[in-house]
Amino acid sequence: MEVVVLATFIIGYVAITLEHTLKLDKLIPALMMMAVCWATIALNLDSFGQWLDPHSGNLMDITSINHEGKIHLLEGTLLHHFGKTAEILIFLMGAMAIVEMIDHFDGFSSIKKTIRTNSKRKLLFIVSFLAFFLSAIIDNLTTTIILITILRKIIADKNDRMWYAGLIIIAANAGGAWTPIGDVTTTMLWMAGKVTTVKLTEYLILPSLLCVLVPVIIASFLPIFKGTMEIDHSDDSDQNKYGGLMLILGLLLIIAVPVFKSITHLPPYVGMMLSLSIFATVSEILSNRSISFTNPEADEHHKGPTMKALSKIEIPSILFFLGILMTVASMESLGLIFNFGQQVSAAIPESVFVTLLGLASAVIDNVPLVAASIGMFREGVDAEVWHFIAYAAGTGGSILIIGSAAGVVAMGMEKISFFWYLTRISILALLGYLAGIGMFLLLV
Amino acid sequence: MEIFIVSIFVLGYTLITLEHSLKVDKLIPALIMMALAWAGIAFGLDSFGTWFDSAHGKLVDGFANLPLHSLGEHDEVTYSASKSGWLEHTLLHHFGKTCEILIFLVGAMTIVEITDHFNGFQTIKTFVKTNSKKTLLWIVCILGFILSAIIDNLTATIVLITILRKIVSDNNLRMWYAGMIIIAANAGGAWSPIGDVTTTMLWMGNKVTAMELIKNLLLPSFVCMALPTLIAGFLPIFKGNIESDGNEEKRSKNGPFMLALGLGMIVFVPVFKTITHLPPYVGMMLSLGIVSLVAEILSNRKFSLTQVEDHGHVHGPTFRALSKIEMPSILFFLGILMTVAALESLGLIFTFGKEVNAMISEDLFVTLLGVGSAIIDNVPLVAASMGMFQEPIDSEVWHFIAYAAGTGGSMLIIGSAAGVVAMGMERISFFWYLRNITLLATIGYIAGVGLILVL
Repeated sequence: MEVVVLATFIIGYVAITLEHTLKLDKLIPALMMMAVCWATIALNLDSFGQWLDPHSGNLMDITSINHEGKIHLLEGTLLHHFGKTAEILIFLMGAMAIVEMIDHFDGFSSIKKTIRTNSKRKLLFIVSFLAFFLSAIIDNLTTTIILITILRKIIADKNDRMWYAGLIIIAANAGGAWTPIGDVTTTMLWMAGKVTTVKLTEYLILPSLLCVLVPVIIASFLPIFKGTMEIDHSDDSDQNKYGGLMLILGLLLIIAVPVFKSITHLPPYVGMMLSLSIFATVSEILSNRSISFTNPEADEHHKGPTMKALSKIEIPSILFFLGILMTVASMESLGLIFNFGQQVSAAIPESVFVTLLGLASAVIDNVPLVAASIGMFREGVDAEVWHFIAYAAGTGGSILIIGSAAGVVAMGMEKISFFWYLTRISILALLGYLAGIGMFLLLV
Repeated sequence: MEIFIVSIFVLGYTLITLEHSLKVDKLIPALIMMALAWAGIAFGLDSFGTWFDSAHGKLVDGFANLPLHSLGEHDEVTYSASKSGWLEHTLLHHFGKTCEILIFLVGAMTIVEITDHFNGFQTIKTFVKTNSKKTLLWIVCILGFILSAIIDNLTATIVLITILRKIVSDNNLRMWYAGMIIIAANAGGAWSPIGDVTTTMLWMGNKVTAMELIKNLLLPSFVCMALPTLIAGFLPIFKGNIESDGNEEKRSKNGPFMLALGLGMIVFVPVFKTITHLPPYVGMMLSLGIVSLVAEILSNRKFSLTQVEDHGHVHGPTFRALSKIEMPSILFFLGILMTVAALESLGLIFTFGKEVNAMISEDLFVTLLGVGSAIIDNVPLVAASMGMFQEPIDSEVWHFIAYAAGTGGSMLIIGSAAGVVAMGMERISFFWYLRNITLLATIGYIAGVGLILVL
């Protein structure tokens, strides 16, 4: 039965990568493979001998448990994974809604104004630099959303923008690796007591920096980043007077999320919802006032900025996410990923293994990978291998567009296809990834 | 700290009910109260003496004496060894359960929207030949009653309101129909084990059997639906005929097919659930996948035949349907359910219920429980009452609880999932419902209670 689950996953993945050829929204195979994988597990529960307990990350032998007990185990595991996945989805919706509302008030045009350059190469450096540091403070998902939204204001040409988006993914993933709040996987290692904040930054800031610099420098010599571009100044005149204020407020509230989290120890989505509602309150108040001054005809339903922003959230990306994460969770529960990893890890040295782990995180989600590796290694706190894993899982995902949350969101927002990314960005990301590893191994 | 959390709840609820006077979207107070209630719990964690374990429906033994953080290594001890462990575990449990409903809702709404994209509901419109408002009221209510027993009251409400949008163009009249649909859907959900979350809970918890449930509750539920409908039929608003909006929409040739497929796939969800024992959202996502797959194939063919020009990106029907989903309703839901979960976790609802139960007779208590379910969500109420009564399977009190929790929620618009969704979809305000529908719902509820007690 493991074979059926694996085959479903492979067929689903192929259908997702062939999205543009099949003309089938990638959401459809993602959702179907999730349902089929879990249904297969549920219907053949008695044929499985082992199970990965999501609470402890240990592989359990379940051959001696009766059917009722197995059903109970399945329900518990599924609820756990679904809860964890939904935490990411709701967080994402909150972040997207805040960004959309800032946009509603033209907040990003103040950033656009500060970017005075016309040179494509300079813009590339500015954008990558911003992505690297923003994603260290907030997280790489939100960073990617914010920067792509800004890019949409600046760059009219679709093809150019896809290139920039690709490099933003690399920069955001690299930036997330060296702070405990920058990326889900580093947060996991941090929360599990495997790494400490100071050591993580010390070990990883240089490798991460190299991981973004190598691709950006190479890219700056490519013909596409040569020359200058037309910056669209048409909508500069009718700037909203609250734009600057809302931009600052929005960014502050997003930064408040990790603060809220470390004070209350509640999952980040709770803080994100609080930030969203505070931001929504302010924007409703401001827009009520501005509506009543300018045009008295408020249509019968008075759609505030909150409503408008929420209706712009990309549900397809969110459901796509749900499908992908839950499918990987199903394979993880069967212990497939865990077993495979242990076999490989026994055959080769540790550093090669972790390098391969990073490459693997380009194919499957890095969260289960790190979760599995937390269960696989028995090293103490701040051992080198944990930092290496943090780097590899954080940045290796840039090699394929489906390898990281930032990539998947960019895929949805800019309609970047799997193969477009593979033929253009993957090699840059790979070079950066390897350069960072070289640096890491030299330093330790 | 308990006082802080309760006052957050009261304040938030007041803001939600005053939505239209304050002109602040109800979503905002709902989300704020969720975040503040849980933050309050996190801060005051050490001071709480009781904790409600929702997964097992009972209070945690010796919670007051647990340490705040566990002392051992992370993976060696379980969550039940410390207060913060319980908080993390319970929050994830409630959040997971809440999101199961949200994702289910997104799936159901999308299937309905895709069907609508193919003008599938036109078929029903042509089928419902009547122009009389009163006849339409009866058709809609009986449909709501039966549909919600087969699928569930949420989906039934969504489907019927969407259909009504195609038939009734007058906003005020549609709000009346929506109100009656809420009553009918909640009544219909009570007598079948898959019709409502709370009856499902009782059924899964081995408190009632399917046959006995239907036998005991079919008549009371029917009265609970029919009596308000009968009275409403005499109101001036349901007099006369509906003026048809004249411009007949063009009929898509795939419309009837998509309607059958969409409804078929929604009905398939409980079947999938019974076979696999997986939560309903998994089946709903599979159904959504299949419906959108068919929709994409049909519309791709249609595109290539009729129009050649496409703007680089063909937005398929799935994409368009998903963009029509009401995110505010979904987040509103999240806020409400998670706040009630916070109150529930502290054992406040449970302790209060126990005290009331000790003072008054059982029948009166369950009746009040139904009334209570109009104010707070019925899921935690039933969960708590499952822990409070020790009666054996199929004893009368379980059926009575199933009826009371299922139908009592109709008395206020925020009392049931169907009501909250209708609130979002049709912009019904709290007070509009209170003035116009609440009385009808109360009459139906009490008539049903009387019938149960007589039987």
